[in-house]
Amino acid sequence: MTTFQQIVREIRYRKTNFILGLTAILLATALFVAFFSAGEASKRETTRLMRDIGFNLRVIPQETDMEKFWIIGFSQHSMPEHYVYDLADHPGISYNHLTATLQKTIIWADHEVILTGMAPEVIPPGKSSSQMTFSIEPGTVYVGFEPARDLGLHPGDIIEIENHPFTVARSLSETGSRDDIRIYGHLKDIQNILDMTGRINEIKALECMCVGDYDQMDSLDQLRTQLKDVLPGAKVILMQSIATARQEQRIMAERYFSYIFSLLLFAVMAWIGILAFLNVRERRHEIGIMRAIGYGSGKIALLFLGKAVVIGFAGAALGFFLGTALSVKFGPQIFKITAASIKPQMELLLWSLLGSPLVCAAAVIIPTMLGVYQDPAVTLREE
Amino acid sequence: MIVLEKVSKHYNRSSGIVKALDEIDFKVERNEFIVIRGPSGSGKTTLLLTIGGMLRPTSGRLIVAGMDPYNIDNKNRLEFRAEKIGFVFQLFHLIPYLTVIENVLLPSGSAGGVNKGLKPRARSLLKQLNLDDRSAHLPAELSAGEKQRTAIARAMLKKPEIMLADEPTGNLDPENAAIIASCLAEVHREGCTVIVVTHGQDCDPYAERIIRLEQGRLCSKRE
Repeated sequence: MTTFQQIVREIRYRKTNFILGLTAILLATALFVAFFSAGEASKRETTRLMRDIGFNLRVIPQETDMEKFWIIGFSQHSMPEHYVYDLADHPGISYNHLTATLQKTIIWADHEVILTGMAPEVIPPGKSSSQMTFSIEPGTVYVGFEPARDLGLHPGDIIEIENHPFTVARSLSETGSRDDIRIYGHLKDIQNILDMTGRINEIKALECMCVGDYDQMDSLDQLRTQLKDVLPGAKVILMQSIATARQEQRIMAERYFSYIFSLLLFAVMAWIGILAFLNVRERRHEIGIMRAIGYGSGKIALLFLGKAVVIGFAGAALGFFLGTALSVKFGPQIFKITAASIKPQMELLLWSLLGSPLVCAAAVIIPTMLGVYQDPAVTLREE
Repeated sequence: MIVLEKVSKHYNRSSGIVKALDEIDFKVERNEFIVIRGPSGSGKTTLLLTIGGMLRPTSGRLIVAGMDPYNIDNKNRLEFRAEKIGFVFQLFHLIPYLTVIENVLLPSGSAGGVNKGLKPRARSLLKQLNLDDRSAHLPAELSAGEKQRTAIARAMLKKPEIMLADEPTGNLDPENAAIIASCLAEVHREGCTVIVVTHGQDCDPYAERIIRLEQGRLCSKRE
């Protein structure tokens, strides 16, 4: 009788021990396979989302000093207002919202305020997107929380900025940001006040992308190249996009899963180890008699390690099919965009067939050693 | 065949040192049938396991089948046990998931390499021990007497020079005990040296010597 035949006989005889071990490794493998099968779909979906949603961009004058830009929050230089229309009209670039602004810090009524002129939003033809920013009527202003509170301004009040009269359309509530010291007006009005007719210093371009099929990074490079051609006096800063947030969420989930999976792996190994320990204990007389009739430690250890490997292989194969079935069944409900691409990944079967037997063998090493090195003279004397 | 010179085996216990064997001098000639009797804890099983190369003595000199089993490496000691010694225990120690014939053939895969030519001998032993109709049964399906006969067949498979039996009739009714004793006598007739440690008297009719062991010392002999 070969060692393998003996292992199979023992498994058939002590089915409960085998089934408990098999169940543990099967579930761990299934979870591993399901996560990575669905994880691949998640990666593809994020890529698609990033490609389809596009980028949120800030277009600012080329000569902007970035240190000052990040300190004060806007460029101290300006660029032509027609850039926003050039961008909107370019056939190679699609967008969902374009907003041109002109911002400048002034002292008004003993307050330092950021005068912010806002052009009406440019929305692609045929699209009825909701407004992303204020739509301010000419001759009116929205006053930020700080000056409105200090000066007791209310809607309908008339104020004067640099000798230009305006009606307060809204006094804004507190935001806890730089916006609390802004006074928003129509772009044309602010250009007049600042004597900067036809000039702006920022375009916010939301969900902007190149027309065509590009990979994520190719797409951003391509967009920057195209914008350079369209807006030669501007440069582009990438704002965090929804897709980026989603990608970060996925990476966090992967990290979280790796912790959970490590814990699960440890629990499975402990479980299989305990089962092996019980198996060794139950078979101590068998080990004793085998030692007595001349079996060496290696052959006896092989009985236990071999059993662990058999459990590992069986668990890997069944776990792969269960995990794949779970991801194919439930994955499309989670990852709707790439649902069709959730399919069995045969490389995971290979990893499972390699990994699970190793995990099982590692889990039973200590119980096996305890069994092999127990004194047969002691066990054979037990009554 | 077996020579023990001032062989001692001491165990360190929390209560102090227990002298399981205390300077035993003992000789067994080839093809002897010896019964060793004594009360529980007198050192009978320790003596048997020491002779069988399973329990290293604390001191003294031991020669079994021409060699000192504790003065050779592990591999050779395994081969020594596999080839020279046959063990029979009170609790049979059959492997529960193997059939009778597979249990008997178990030594064929032990040290010294797999010996595939032993199957006819296993069948012959089962026939000799009246177990030929039980060869495909699992141990759980056997009576106590049949289990012990299976254990004897397993011990006999490789035609050992020495058969060591530890209370072989201890778990059996008188009828089965008598059958086992006659089986051991048959083993002896085939040329094997047989040493039986026992409380009972089932093997006495076949014994050439009966030795009494008390508190680790041989205290009387009957020729």
